[in-house]
Amino acid sequence: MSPILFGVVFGSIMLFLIVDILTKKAPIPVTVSVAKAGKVTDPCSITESLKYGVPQFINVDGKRIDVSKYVVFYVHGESMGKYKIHDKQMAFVEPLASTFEISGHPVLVLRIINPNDAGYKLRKFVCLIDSIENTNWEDVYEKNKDRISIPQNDFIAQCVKKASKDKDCLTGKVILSETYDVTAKKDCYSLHALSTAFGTVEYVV
Amino acid sequence: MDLKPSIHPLIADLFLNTKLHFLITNTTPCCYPIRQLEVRPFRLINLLQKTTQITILLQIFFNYSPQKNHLINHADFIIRNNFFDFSCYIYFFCTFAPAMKSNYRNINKLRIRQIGYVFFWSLGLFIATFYGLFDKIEGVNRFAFDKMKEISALNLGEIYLFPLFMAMTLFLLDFVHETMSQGRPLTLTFSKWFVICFIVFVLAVACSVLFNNNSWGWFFFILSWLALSILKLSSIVETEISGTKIER
Repeated sequence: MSPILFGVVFGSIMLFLIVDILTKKAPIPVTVSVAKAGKVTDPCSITESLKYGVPQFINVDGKRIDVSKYVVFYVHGESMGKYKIHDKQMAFVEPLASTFEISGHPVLVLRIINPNDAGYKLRKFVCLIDSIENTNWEDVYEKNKDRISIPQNDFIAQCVKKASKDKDCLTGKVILSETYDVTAKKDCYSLHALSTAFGTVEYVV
Repeated sequence: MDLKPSIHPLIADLFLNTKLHFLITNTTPCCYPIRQLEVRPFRLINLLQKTTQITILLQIFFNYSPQKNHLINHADFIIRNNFFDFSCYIYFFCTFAPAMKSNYRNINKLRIRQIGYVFFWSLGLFIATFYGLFDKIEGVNRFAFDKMKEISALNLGEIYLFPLFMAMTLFLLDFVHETMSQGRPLTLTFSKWFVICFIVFVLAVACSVLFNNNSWGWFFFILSWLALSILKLSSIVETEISGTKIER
C-alpha cells in the first residue's frame, strides 16, 4: 500500500469518526437572556442561542465548580471589562432571594424598565441609598469615595440628573451603581430602584 | 538485519521509554490538555516534567542523547533515535497547540485544537513506540512489518508490543490519577477502546508474521490507530471550561 493512499484513507476515516463523536457528544443548544454591559440604548438581541449549551461544571483556579444552580446570561458590551466580565461571555448569576441581601460590592444584574430589546443590564454595585428625597450627595460621595473614581462635582451632577429624570421610578431604597462608558472612556454613576435587582454575577466563562 | 541491541533490550527500552512515558503521560495531562500552561500547584511530578522537557529540548537542539553515546554504532538505535526525535517535534506540537485558556468565546477554536491534538498525539505515540515504521535500507523502503518475520517472538514482544502497551497503561493510570486528584467522577467507559486498540495491534503484528501479504497487518494497524485516537478523544472531549470568579 502506498503511503499516500494510506494517508488519504486513514485521514478520511479518522476525520469522519472524530466529527461523528463530536456531533454525538455535542450539547443541546440553549437560549438565554442577554444582559447589557453598556448603554441601555445600544441595540442588541433579547435572547442568545448558545449552540454549545451551558456547562454543568466549570474549572476555576483548578477547582471544579457546580454552576447548574445559577441563571445564565449572555453578556453584551464591554463596560464591565474592569471587573473581568467581557463581551460575548456567559455570566452565571445567583438570583437574589431577598432584595436586602446584597453584601459586598458585587456586579448586579438589573431589570431594565420598559426595555427596547434586552431586558437586563449589568452594573457594579456601589451602595444602597435609603431614599433619594433629601439625599445629601456630598455625604454619599464622602462615604463611598474609595469606590467612586470621578470628581465630586461630576458625581453629584450625574446623580441629581438621574434622580430628577427617573423620580417616579426611584421610590424607596435605591441602588447607586457604576458602569464604564466605552465611548466617553469614563466611569458613570446611576441610580436604580432596589426592586429592579435580579441577582449577582458569581462566575463568567 | 539484527535488531538486537548491544545492551540488554529491556534496559535499553527502559532507558528510551522512561523519557517516552513521561512524554506521553505526565507532560500531557490527559484530563485537561488545554490547561497545561496554566499555573498548577507544585508537585514532585512537575519537577520531573520539567526535567524531561529539558532533556527533550537538549536532544532536539543539540542532538544530545545519553543512550546514543552508548549505542552510537548500532543501526537500530540510530533509527530509533531518529524516530524518537521526530516524535519529539510532534510532541511539542501536541503540547503547545492545545495550550489555550478555554472560555465560551473561543470554544470553536478549542474544538478544532482538540481534534488536532488528538491526531498528532496518536501519531506521536505510534511513531515513538512503533519505531522503524518506515525504514529505508539499501535504497529500498521497508516497513516494520517486513522486519517482524526476521526476529524471534520474544524480541518481537519486547521491541514492538512492550513499549506501546506500557505507554497506554501509563496513559490510563495518568488519567485515573488526574481525574481523582481533581475530584471529578471517574468514568472509564472509554477504556474499552484501550482493550480494542491493544488487541487489534497484536493482531496486526501477528498477521504480519503469519502471512506473506502485509495488507492485513496494515489493515489492523490502521484500526488500532483509530481506536487509540478515539480513546484519547473520549478522554478529553468533555474538558471543563475555565471560568473566572467575580470578586465582590
